[in-house]
Amino acid sequence: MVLITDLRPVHVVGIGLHPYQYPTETSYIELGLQAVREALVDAGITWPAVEAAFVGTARLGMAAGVPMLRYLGMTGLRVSQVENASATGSTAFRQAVAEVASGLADVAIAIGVDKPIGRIAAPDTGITPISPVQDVPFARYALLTERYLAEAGYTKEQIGLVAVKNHNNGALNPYAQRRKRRTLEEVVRPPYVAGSLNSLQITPIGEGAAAVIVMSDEAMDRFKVDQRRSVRVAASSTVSDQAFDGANADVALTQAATQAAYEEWGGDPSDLDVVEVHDAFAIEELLFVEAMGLCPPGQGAAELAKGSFDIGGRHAVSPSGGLLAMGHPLGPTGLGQIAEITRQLRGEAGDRQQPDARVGLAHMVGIGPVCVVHILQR
Amino acid sequence: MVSKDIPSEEAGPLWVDSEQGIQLIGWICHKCGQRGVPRQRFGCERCGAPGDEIRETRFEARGVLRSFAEVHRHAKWPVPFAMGEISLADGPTIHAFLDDEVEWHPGATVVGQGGDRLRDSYVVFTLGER
Repeated sequence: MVLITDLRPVHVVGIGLHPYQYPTETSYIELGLQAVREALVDAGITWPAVEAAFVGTARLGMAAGVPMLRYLGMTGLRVSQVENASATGSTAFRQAVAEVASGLADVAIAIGVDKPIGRIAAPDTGITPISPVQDVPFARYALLTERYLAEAGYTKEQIGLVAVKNHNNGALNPYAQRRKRRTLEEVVRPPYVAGSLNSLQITPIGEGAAAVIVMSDEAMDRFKVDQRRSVRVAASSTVSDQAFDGANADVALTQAATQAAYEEWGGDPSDLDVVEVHDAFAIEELLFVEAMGLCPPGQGAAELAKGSFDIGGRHAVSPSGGLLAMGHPLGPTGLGQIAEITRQLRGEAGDRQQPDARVGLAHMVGIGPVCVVHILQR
Repeated sequence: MVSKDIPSEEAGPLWVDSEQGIQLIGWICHKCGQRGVPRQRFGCERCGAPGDEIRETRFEARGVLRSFAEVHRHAKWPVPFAMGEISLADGPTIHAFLDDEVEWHPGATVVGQGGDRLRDSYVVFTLGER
C-alpha cells in the first residue's frame, strides 16, 4: 500500500477561520468566504493560484461548493464536496493533501463550512432499533461515562477536569464558540442532560468555517511562500469500523488510526507536543489519550490531574479548547484542528502557545464509526 | 399517523412473547455464524455475506446491565427515562429502556418485559432473578 507521505512532500501554508458560534441567520457563504480569504492572506497567495478545492460539509446538503466559491472569482478550479460525519473536515484535508502529494495539483484547499440545517442519514437505514434513543449521542455517551466511572473507578470530578481544561483553553481562543473559563463545580453540577453529563461536558451545536491551503515544494518556491511558517504533513491515516467483537469501536479505531500514523511518521507518541482530540464528550478525551498511547491505560485521569495535558504540560491536549469549547460545527471541525496545530507549530498561538511545539496530531472520529488522524511537523 | 421511530408492521416486530419469556428478534449469518440485534436482512457485518445468507434468529431478552443513565433531555420522548447498556446472555450488547421504578446498579441481572410494561412497542428491561 502506498502512503500519502511516500509521494511528494505536502506543506500547510495557509489557515483561516470564521469563528465558531451558536446558529445565526448568517449565510454559510459568508462563513466560508471569511475562512478562505483569511487562509489566502495567511499563505500570501491569491485565489487563482488554487487548483483544487475540497468542500467539507455535513449538514448543508447538495452543491454547497461552487455557489460559495464563485464569489472569490470563477477561476474554473476543480471543486468536490466531501462528507464524513464529524470527520468531514479531516477527510477534506486528507483529500487536498492527496491531491498535492499525487501531483494532480500543486496548490489545493480544504474548506469546512456548516450550519445545522440538514438531516442526518445514519438513522434512516430501514432497520428498527431496539429503542428509539439508542443512537442519540448524549445518551450513548452518558452510558459510556457511567461505565467508565464504574469500571475504572474514576469519579465525576476527574472526568469534569477535562471540561475545565478545555473551557479554560477555549477562553483564550478568539475563534472558540465557548469563551468562558469554568470551575470544576460548574461542569459537574446538575442539571444533567443524561446520567452525570452536565451540558458543559458536551460539545455545543454551532456553525462556522475553516480553511487550510496545502502546497508542493515546487509551488512554495513559485509563490515565494515563507518556509519558516509552513508545516509539513508527516502522516495521514483513516480507518472505518471493523468487527471488533464488543470492544469500544471508537477507541479501537483510534488505536488503529494513530498506530498507522505513528508508523508513517516514524515517531513515538511521547514526541507529540500538541494533540487535538475529538472530545465531543468529556469522557472521550480520557479514552482517546490512553488509546493514542499518551499515557498508560487507566492513567488518563491521573495524568490530567497532574497537568500533563495542560498547555505547558507534557502534551498540550486540545489547546484550541477542543470540541467542548472551541465547538463542533461538523464540516469545519477537523480543519480547525489543523489550523490550531499549524498555529502552534509556527509559534503563533499567543496565550495558548505550547512551548517549542514541533509535532502535532489531529484526531477525529465520526458516525459510522470512522476515524481520521493527521500528524504535522515543523 | 405512525411515527417513523415506532416499529411498524412493515418492519416486523422487534420481539415475541414466547413460553421462555420475551425474545428479541435478531439475525444470524449462515455463512460465518455472526449474530446481532436488531433484525436486518442487508448482509453480514463480519463476512459480508449477502442478505439471502441472513436468517432471523431469537435472543433471550436477558442479560447483565453494564451501565445506566437517566436521560433528561430528548427531542421526541417524554423525560426523564432510564436507559441501559445491556450485555445479552446470548452475546450481543444493546442499548434499551430500563424500568424507571428500579434503583439501578451496574452488574444487575436484567430481563425484558412484555404486556403493559412495554414503552409503546419497545421492550423495557427490569430487574431479573440472580
